[in-house]
Amino acid sequence: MNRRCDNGWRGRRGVRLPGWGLAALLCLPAVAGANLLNGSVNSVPQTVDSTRDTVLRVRWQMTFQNNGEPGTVYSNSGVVGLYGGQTCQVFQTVAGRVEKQVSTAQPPVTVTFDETVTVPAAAVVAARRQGLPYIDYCRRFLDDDGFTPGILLVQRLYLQAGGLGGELGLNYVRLRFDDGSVSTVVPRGGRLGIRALVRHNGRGLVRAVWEVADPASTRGTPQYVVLGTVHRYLTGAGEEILTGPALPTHLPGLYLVRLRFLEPEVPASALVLRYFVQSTTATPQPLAPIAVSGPADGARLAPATRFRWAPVEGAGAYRIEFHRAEGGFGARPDRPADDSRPEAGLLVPGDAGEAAVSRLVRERLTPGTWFWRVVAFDGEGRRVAAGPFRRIIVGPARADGGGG
Amino acid sequence: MVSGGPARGRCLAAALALLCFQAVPASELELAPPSRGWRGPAEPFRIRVPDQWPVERLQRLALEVDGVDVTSLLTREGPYAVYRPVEPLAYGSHEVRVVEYLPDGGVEELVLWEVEVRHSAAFREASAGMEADLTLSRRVAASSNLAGPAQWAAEGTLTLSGMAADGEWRATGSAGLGYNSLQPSAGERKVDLTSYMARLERKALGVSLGNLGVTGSSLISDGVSTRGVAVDFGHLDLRRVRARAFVARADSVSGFREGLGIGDEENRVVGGDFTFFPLKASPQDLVVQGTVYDGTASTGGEGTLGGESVQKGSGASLSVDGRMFKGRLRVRGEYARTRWDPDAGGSLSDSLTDDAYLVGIRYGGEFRGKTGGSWDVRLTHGRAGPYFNSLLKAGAPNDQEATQLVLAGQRGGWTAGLALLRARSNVADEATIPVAGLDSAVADAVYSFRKPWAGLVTKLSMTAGRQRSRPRRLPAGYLAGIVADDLTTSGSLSVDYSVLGATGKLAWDRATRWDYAAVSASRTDTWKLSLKRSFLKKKLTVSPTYTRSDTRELDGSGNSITDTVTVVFSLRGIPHERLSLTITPQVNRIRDPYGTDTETRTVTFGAGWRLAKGGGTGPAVTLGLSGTWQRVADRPAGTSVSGWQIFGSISVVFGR
Repeated sequence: MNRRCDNGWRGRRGVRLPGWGLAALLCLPAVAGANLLNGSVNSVPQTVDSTRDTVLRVRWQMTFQNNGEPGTVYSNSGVVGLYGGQTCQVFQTVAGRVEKQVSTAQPPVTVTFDETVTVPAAAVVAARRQGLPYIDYCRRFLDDDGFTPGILLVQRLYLQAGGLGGELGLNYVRLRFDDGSVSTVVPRGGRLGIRALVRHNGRGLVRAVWEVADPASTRGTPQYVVLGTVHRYLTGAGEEILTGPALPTHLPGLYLVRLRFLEPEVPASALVLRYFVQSTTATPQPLAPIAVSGPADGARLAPATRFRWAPVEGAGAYRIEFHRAEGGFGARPDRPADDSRPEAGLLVPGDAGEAAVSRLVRERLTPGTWFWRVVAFDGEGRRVAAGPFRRIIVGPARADGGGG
Repeated sequence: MVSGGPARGRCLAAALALLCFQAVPASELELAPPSRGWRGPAEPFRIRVPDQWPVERLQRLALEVDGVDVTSLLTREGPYAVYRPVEPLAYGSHEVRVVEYLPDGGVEELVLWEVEVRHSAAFREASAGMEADLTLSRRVAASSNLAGPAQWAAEGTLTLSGMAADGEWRATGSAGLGYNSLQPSAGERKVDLTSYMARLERKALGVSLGNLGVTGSSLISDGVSTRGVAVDFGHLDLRRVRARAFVARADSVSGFREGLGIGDEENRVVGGDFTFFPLKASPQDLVVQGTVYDGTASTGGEGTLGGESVQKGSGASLSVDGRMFKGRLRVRGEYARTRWDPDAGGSLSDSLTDDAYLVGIRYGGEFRGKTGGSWDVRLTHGRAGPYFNSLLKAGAPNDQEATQLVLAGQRGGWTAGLALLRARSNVADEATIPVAGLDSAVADAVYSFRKPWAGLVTKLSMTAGRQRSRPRRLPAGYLAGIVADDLTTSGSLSVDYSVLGATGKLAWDRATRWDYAAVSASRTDTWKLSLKRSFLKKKLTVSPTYTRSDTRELDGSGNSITDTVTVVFSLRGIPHERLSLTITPQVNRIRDPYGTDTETRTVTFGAGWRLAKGGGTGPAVTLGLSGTWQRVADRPAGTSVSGWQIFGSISVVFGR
């Protein structure tokens, strides 16, 4: 387990590169000042994506000695550019001044600067279009004697084109509810989902927990409980959707939901969404299930096919519904929505427990795969129960013959 | 087949037409006009059948409403055949059809009526809804570390919806607001305008404001709902063209700040899209879609970490989707082009133009024989150039070329599939950048039992996968270890079960990853066991869940483990029907090899006593008691912190 890499948003899990010695070459002491002895970049090699901003956290370390006198170590700006000789050719200044007062009387002293910086895509594009395989993030550190050129430190960033990367880094995380909103109101007992879009580069394990604070604490001090965990390997540069668990909606009031990353470390405060649950109960309530005994899922529709189900108490009528299964390019055909309107169907009285499709229904069932189910209605027109969706195959008319 | 008889025809409702029907001299069937002069959702259909028709012919007739054969629920009332809808019909247009079964096995359509179901004489459709609640709460007790002055808090929600339509116009609108006095959102707002939408349609023209899905999903847009303004047009006679123009934000916002969502110059996109169905007889068999836009956007903001700089860009996409051979063969192609300025007019980079395409073919069929079943094969190939980048699909992968083959089938209780993927990066073969490759294979199978196996198992699901990433070409001087070179294998097994009135799921999945570049390997196992059981006529529900995620370094250097046990007790109506109670105890422990070992025990509860049920003009009123106890223990340090708080509340609910 390599813990040298305390690199902020980057993972702690072991990226032990065989070429680690090469990375050390990137810590480039230029000209030592009177009080700054040397410096280093405490980081593993990093990669940047050419079409997105990349967030880096870099740890700079300087060794300072001033014969026990206090002093200041600082750097006026951080620039993205190209290191060569003793200078950095500036593409863009991306960070401002950092400084620390050194007051200890026990020399030498190690001064550490932890920095989070965004490398803009524009700078990476500029490097790529010049045919460069990398760009550099440079800072020149100085002390307050004012007469020395300081120490130029460089973090090298390798350009990537997807599918590459060093240690896992999260460039961008966006939480949204299922409908794309960042805030919503739902009825009590209603369904609500959440998902996180994670853009990453590098490779490694992401560990996170979904947590929620419900109105039992948000009326005072929010206290979060765990809703679900994420342990997932990510590789390359790209994006991943982390689908969260179903969110609780059993108490009315304000809920706070967050995604807390355990690895790599990510500042958590921004990844919080709010939703409100109303006191009124969501309608409709889930329908009671109907036990269906035939035909089997995926069976072929034949003239003798009988649709059979267990009776539902209080049913005034049943409707056998048929929905065409769409063949797309993604996943398999999804089952139809519960409230979708059937393309064909058959109504039968409430005392029936089976039925065969009529010729009229058969006319509507064109060859292909269909979904079917049975829905029960009470005497007042309310849906009271529904069977599961099953598939049925409707073959070419000439093979199955007509009639019903 | 349906014989299109001379009777076939439609009549369009006039603005105040109460019922429209077509007289059918050939069949002499007549649909009686509705009693109030307009047809309501549950009003019976009365069809007058000629007296002279013989019984044998009557027995060959069938009635269909909106594609559903309702013949078996027809009753006879004097000279009328009557059908009473078992479910109230939706407002709007419905088709009622009478057919006759012919002795030769054919079906002849005798008459087709298009009827309009209305809300009232004034409006074809009308509805209004308002839900509002307000809760006043006070923290009545708390542990010393959470205590402080007793806190009053107020929170509430308001949702509004309304709709009216008649003739050729329709207006709809909705809005949602939430309020909490103690927990302001990121912008320090205590009132959130969570979403709103208003739409007015007249004839073929529509105007929408608020949260809209401004475009469909394509190579340049992921179709998410954002705030903006859109004007759309669909030709009434040729309903085969739909076009829309829009101005919108590229990201999601809440609150009142952004209003219509088009006032921020640094986050505004202007564009349009269209859908065209060239084939009049079967519109869905050929669909042409296009989208264009131009604008400026940044995608930071609420619920976001690592927002991006402001970027300018434009995009255009054109797709064609065709179906042949009764839908067995489907062919789709899309081409898109983007112009992207990564520093929005800055000096570092000028605009970059690049393109992407996606082509796919799918062929499916059915197995022969009694068991039935279906199968299909899908082949897709796509490529996105190095600088292909759309503001409306921020972060979508680019600089990649991928080919995927999917085989899927279903037979008996089995559903199975196999997906093979090969992808590579650096599609322009730039010499200074590595080329990385990815090969992936994933197989999955699900078996649904007709009857629970061993009286227990209702469904069995399994997957297996292998993913290999490696460099295909490294430029000279490139740090070799930085390029992904790894193998991930994965497998999962889950069982849906039903036992003693309870239902649940047991799921396990494992992923093992060998990182050849970093010379390390680790394995993650995830277990989840859930159960749900109701008692006392569903008044008491108990739902325990256990999950464990365990990532183990295969060199033995440590594990990262997250364990969570949660039980939800939900009680409603006992011992008194006015009482509802939910108690949720949870234990969570998170460990990792870096020294973290935290155990969190939490109990939350919420109880409500309904004082007034509401309804009519009066509000519902509920007294509540809720609270949380939580103890967080840092095991290595041997320390723990616990806190608890209890709230009393009164909630008032208005709804209409």
